[in-house]
Amino acid sequence: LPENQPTPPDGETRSAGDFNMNKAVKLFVSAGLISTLGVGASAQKTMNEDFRKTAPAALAPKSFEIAKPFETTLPNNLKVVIFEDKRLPLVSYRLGFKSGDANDPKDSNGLTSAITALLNEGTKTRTSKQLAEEIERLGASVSASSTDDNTIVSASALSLYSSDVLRLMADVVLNPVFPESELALYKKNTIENIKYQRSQPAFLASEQIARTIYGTHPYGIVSASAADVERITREKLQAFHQKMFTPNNATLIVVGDVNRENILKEIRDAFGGWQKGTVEATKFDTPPVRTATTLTVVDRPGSLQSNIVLANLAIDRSNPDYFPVLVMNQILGAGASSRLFMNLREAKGYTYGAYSRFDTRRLAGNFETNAEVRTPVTGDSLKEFFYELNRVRNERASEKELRDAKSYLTEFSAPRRNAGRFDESARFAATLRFARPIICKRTAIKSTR
Amino acid sequence: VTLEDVERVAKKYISPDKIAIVIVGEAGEILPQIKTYSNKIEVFDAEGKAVDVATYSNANTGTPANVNGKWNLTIDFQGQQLPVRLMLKQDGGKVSGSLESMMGKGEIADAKVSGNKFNGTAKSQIQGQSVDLVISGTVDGNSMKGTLTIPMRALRRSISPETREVRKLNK
Repeated sequence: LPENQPTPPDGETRSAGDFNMNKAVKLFVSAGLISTLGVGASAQKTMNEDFRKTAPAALAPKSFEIAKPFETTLPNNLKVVIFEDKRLPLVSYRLGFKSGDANDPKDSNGLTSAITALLNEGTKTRTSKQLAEEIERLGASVSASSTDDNTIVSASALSLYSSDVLRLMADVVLNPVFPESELALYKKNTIENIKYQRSQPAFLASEQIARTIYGTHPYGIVSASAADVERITREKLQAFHQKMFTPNNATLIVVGDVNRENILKEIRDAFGGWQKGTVEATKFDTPPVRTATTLTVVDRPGSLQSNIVLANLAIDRSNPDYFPVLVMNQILGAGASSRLFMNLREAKGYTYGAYSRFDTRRLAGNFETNAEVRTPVTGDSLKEFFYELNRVRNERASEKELRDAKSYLTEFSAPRRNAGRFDESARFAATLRFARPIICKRTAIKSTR
Repeated sequence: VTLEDVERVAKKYISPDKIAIVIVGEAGEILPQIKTYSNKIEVFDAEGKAVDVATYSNANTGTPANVNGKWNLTIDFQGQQLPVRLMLKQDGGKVSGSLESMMGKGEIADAKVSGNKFNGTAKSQIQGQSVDLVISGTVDGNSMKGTLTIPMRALRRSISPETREVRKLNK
C-alpha cells in the first residue's frame, strides 16, 4: 500500500475498530466487509468516503539493481553464468542457444520445435519412462522450448539435487535419441493442434500479419504446416540436433543456492566433453519495404467479431530507441489505462480490449495494434485506430501521461513485480544475460527514466 | 525519456500511411465498411487461398435465397458420409431452427441469409461440452454446398476438428 494513503475518518465503518492494526490489514478487513455483507448501509458508506475519490499518489521510485553474476567460459566455448542466490534452497538452470525456429531449414519448418518437444523423450541410456520417473523422484522439472531467436532447455529442483538434475539435463541435451514411437505420437498430436489453430481467428490474424510484414524472412512464418510436420524424420532430427546444439552457440545460466566452485566442477564434468561445432552465420531474406497501406481480409464465415490487426516494421531488440518506444507504447496502447483501450473500449464500447505492442526480436521487429470488435463496428474501429496512431505522432503527450507511463513501467514491470519469485528471477536473469545483452549494461528501470 | 523522445519515436516507428491492416471475420459484412482504407484489398479464406473480392460484392445484394424447410445434408468426414439434418425457419434475411447430427442436436439462432450465402451457428452440447458448430453454405435452388466447422478445444483429442464439405441431397 502507498505510504501516503489517507486514513479513513474514525468511527465511520465497522472496520474502524481495527485502527490499531497496520493499514494493510485494516483495509483488508474493510474490503472483506463489503464482500460478505453485500452493499449494506455501512459498506455503502465505506465506498463513498471522501478519501476514495482521489487515486492515491504513486510511490517514489525504488532503485532496482540486478545482482552481479560470476561468468566464465569452458574450453569448448560454453559460456557459464552463475548467480548465487541463497534465499531459498532451490536451483534453476537455463541452457540457451542463440538459434531457434528462424534457423529451421527452409523445407523443414518446425524442426527446432520438434527437437525441443522430444528432447526428454529418451536418451542413449534412459527411456522416456525412465526419464519421467527420475525427474519425478527428484521433484524436478526438465523441459525445452524454442522461439524464433532462441532455444532454451530449463531444469529446476531443490538445491539438494543440484548435481542430479544437472546430470539429467546434460543427458537430454547431449544424448537424445528421438525414438520412432515418440516421434509418431508427436507428429499426430502436432498435426491435430495445427488443424485446431486454423479454427481460431487470432491465429489466422497473426499468421496473415506475419506473412504481410515479414514476407520470406523467417519471422513471416508463425507455424509449421501439417505437411512440414509429416516430413520430419528421426534422421533429420538427429542431424539438426547435432548441428545446432553446440557449446560454442550456448550459455548455461545457474541461479540458486549453489556453491560456485562445486557447481563449476559439476558443470565441467557434465558438459566438458561436449564437442565444439561450427556455427554458420545464417543469411535471411530482408522483410519487404512497405510503400502504401494494404488491407487483407481473411474470410471466416459465421464470425460475429472482426479480429483487427494493424502492423508495420519497427525496431529490433538492440535498437537504442528501445526505452523511448517502451514509454511511448505505454501511453498509446500497452495497458488498460492507455489511449487505445480508453477510446475503443471505455468511450466507444466496440471491444473488450484494444492494445498495441512492439515485438522486438533479435533480427527485426514490428509495431502491432489489435482489437477484436463486433462485426458491425469494424469500420468505426479502424477509424479510431487511425485517429490514435496519428494523434500519438502529431500531438505531444501530456506531462501526466508521461509520468504515469514511466511510473507504471518502473513499478509494475515484470522484473520488479516478480522479483520475489524465485524462478522468475532465474528466468529474468537468463533473459538479461542471454537474449537481451543490451540491458545488462543499464537496467531497464534506469533507462526508462 | 522525455515528451520529445515519445513524439520522435512515435513519428519514426508508427507509419499509418504504410501500415498493413489485417482483419479476420465475416468478409461479406466487413468489406463494405472498410473499402476506403486502401487501394489494395486482398481476401483469403481460412486455408490461405486467395478469394476474388468481387465474390463479396455480389453476395450481399439481391433478395435472400429461400432456405425455409428441412435439409438433409451429408458431411464428408475422413471419407465417411455422415448425415446432418437442418430444420430452418426463415423470416426475410433472418433464420432460426435446429441442427441434428451424430454428435447431438443444436439450436440455431441468429443465422442469416445474405444473397445466396447462409451463415449460422448451432449451439450444441457434445459430451457435456457446450460447442458452437459454425455452418456456412452457398444456396443454389434446392441444394446447399459449404462447410461445417467444429471448433472444439475440449474434443480435439477425440474428434478431428476440421472443416468438412456439406452437400445437399434432397430437400
